[in-house]
Amino acid sequence: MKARNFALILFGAVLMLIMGSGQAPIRTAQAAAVQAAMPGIEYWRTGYTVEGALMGSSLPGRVIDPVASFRSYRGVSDIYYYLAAPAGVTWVKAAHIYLLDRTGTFSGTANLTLEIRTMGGSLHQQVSIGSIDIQILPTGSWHALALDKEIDHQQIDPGELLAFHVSFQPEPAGDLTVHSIFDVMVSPYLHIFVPLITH
Amino acid sequence: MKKMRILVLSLAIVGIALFLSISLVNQARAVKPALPLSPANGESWRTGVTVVNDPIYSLLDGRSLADNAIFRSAQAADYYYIFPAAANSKTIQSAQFYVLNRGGSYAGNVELTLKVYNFSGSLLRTVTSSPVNLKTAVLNAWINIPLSASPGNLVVNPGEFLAFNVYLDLGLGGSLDIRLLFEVQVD
Repeated sequence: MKARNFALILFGAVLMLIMGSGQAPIRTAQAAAVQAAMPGIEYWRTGYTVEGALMGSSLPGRVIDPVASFRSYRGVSDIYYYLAAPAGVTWVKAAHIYLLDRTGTFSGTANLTLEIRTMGGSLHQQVSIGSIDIQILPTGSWHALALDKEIDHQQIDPGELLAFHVSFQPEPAGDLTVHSIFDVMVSPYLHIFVPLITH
Repeated sequence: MKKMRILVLSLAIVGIALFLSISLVNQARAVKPALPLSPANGESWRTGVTVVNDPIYSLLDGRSLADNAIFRSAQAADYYYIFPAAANSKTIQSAQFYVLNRGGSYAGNVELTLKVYNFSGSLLRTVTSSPVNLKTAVLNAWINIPLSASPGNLVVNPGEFLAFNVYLDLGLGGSLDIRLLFEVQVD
């Protein structure tokens, strides 16, 4: 009787082992399917420079290019480099800036922030913590912007745009010109899920 | 005697089960590489900016991005179709081009190569294994470009950018007009 019980328990355990191992390829395939289907991460590197306030109706016809120009002598205190306007909720995961060159001078402050703005141009959230002084930021290397950890501050809603904003204070003057490029990592997911696939 | 038979039967079942489970695990391992795994940071680059003569990145300021490039032999002997630069290292997985249209003529060779430059325009690496002859490339079909066998040549680092270079070996002249599309897969 004891031997029969032992055999039954053993048989059950073995059956579970077989079923468990049979799931392995299914789990792997599911994980792969999730990863392949997930829109995941996007990188935004192109936009357009707007000198002064943005009006939604002034978007058409603007040239999208990979280089932003911030000039202190254009008669406006605020210059923006606008990136794409997503149709769905999108979260900013990382942002980098690279100054290609800097010429001329400006006696005031020229600070850059990353912001979420409405189509009408008004500020909704500031994504970056503090600001970057583009008059002293080293040229010729990528720099990561410190992002606000508050979820609301990373969230771009439909009808909003992401913008790098340089403010020349107290007023536009001098002959400073800064050419910069950007790389922003965004995702339609608040938390980026990368399935764990075991070998 | 009966107990002994049950025990032997149990051991036989255990043996078969272990064999099956090991082979299933091996199957799972064998299947995995064939699955369409898409790296989380994979990208397809299809838009760029065309510049002539020097691939200096700041020349892109104010120039419009386009999903096609036009090369005219009468205009310049060196063309560059530049992709926006990335802040992180990228590895090129594949590169393709598509000849939309080709008209006119040019006496020399017209070579297409994929290269990596720094922002000042200095050539760092050649990604393609050999130049493609655009005068004889098939029209209206995506054509895969052979990549360098050296993995180090397929990397684009921060501070660098990727560009297709069209080079006319006899200098500018003639009336050749070629319009192309490009696609580069990077991880």
